[in-house]
Amino acid sequence: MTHDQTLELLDDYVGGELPPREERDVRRHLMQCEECRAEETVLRMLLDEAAALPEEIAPERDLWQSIAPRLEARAPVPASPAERLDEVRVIGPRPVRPLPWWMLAAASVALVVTTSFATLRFADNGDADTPVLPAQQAQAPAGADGGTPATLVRFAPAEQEYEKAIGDLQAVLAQHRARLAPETVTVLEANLRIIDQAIRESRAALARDPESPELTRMLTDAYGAKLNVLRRAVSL
Amino acid sequence: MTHIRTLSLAAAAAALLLAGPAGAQQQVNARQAAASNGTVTIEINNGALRVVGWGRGEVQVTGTVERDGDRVQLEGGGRRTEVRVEGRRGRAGPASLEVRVPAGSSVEVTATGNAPITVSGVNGAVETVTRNGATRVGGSPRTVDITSQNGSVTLEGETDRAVISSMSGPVRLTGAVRQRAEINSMNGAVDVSGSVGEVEISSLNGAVRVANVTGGRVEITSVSASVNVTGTRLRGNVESVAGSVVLSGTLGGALNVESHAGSVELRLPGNTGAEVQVTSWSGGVNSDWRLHREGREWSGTLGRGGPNVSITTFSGSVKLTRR
Repeated sequence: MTHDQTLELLDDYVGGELPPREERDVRRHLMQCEECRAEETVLRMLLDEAAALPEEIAPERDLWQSIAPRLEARAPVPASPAERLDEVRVIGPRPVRPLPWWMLAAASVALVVTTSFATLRFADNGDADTPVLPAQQAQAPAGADGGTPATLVRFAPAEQEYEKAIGDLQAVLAQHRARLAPETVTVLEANLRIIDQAIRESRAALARDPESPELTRMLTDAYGAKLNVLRRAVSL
Repeated sequence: MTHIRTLSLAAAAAALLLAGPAGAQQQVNARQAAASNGTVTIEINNGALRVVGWGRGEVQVTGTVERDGDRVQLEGGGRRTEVRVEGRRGRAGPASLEVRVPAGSSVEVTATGNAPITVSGVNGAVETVTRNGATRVGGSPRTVDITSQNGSVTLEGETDRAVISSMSGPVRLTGAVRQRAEINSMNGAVDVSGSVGEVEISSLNGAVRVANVTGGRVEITSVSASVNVTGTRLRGNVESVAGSVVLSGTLGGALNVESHAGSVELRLPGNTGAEVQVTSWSGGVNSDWRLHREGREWSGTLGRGGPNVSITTFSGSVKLTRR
């Protein structure tokens, strides 16, 4: 259960209206999220305060006695066919429920992993007549110019996709960073630095030895490791 | 709108108050008939929880509730029974409970605070989620699923499958996982000394030790955690970014080890048969067996040959040791 999903379900959770499985998922998220726990506390306080109110407040005088005759005197208005429907009419497009952030993040990871490996395989197996680079070459990262070794250039599209997915996950992580314990952030950052170092080293080595499939794999693995760490971080 | 629904429902809620009269500590003693193989869900905040499987067809809750006004709710029965410690206002205070459940039950426990959890004698699936309390699962549950934020996790029973996720608490698996153990750790050490079939471990920082592999496939990924695996008939994949990797034992199939900056050591018996290939960009390679070097690649046949062993590092050193 993610942060946004939990917030969405918190009212029902506090009211005990969730099915057991969702209720448990919300509980699990609450254990890990200060922000949601704070929200839960507020809701429960409201609940307590409301429960403390008297069940019934008698009006100082019986207003119904004067209102009822006036209502009964009015002729009933026939309802239109649409109004007779039980459903409330919706004007315009139905509101689209936004995808939760974790789903977007997961989708971006799945996309980059799939397309990166597809790109690399395509590049590795392509013969001389096959155009190695798709149109993204023009947007290749710094270094993918005319003097850049062929392997690094071939890796550029995949690297772009990795970087995009990493950027997406980092953006998500930045939004939710406050929810993570400081020691968790420290561990994550330390390990991400280690992986970044591995990426830099692999990339530099690949520039010097552009025909090495091992280095290409190392670079791919390092990006994969970074994605995995970020994916785990955003799912916390 | 939902608030209103919430309030009305809350007002209508029929709680079964089990705690005794107001006082510093309230005794709890309640029971509810339950199916022999139903599901029992338990929720506690702080205190301690012990779940024990027994031969009776009922759920029994005994113990104490510390905070005045808190209550233990026992609901359902039959196929689904719920035990919940509820706070009078907000989160519940400490409670020390023992919950006895039919031995064939599946148990789902959530501890939102610091309550340690112990589960034993349960034969169904066991699922626990804890924040800071330690989790200990024994007996012979069918499957085990443990999620812990900061508490330690110990699985000492026997089970078919285990999935354990820990953020910073250490994970110890001393029992037996017959089919597959999956352990995810961020910062806590992972120590698997029991017997396991297949094992998959992912750790960022926490040192990983697997001490009793007996032929099951091993899949381990680490960023900076050290990895140490011993056993017989080793096979599988170990990947690390900067943590050192030591594998010791006989080979049982293809073994692939990759590390960017961490050292790799493979300790094999002298009579090992294998096809070995080592690739290292800038790390030193040291082998007790004769290997043929070609550029950054070393290869050779150990004994009469056998499973493929592939070791790849960028700057990590590689050592093949005859033990």
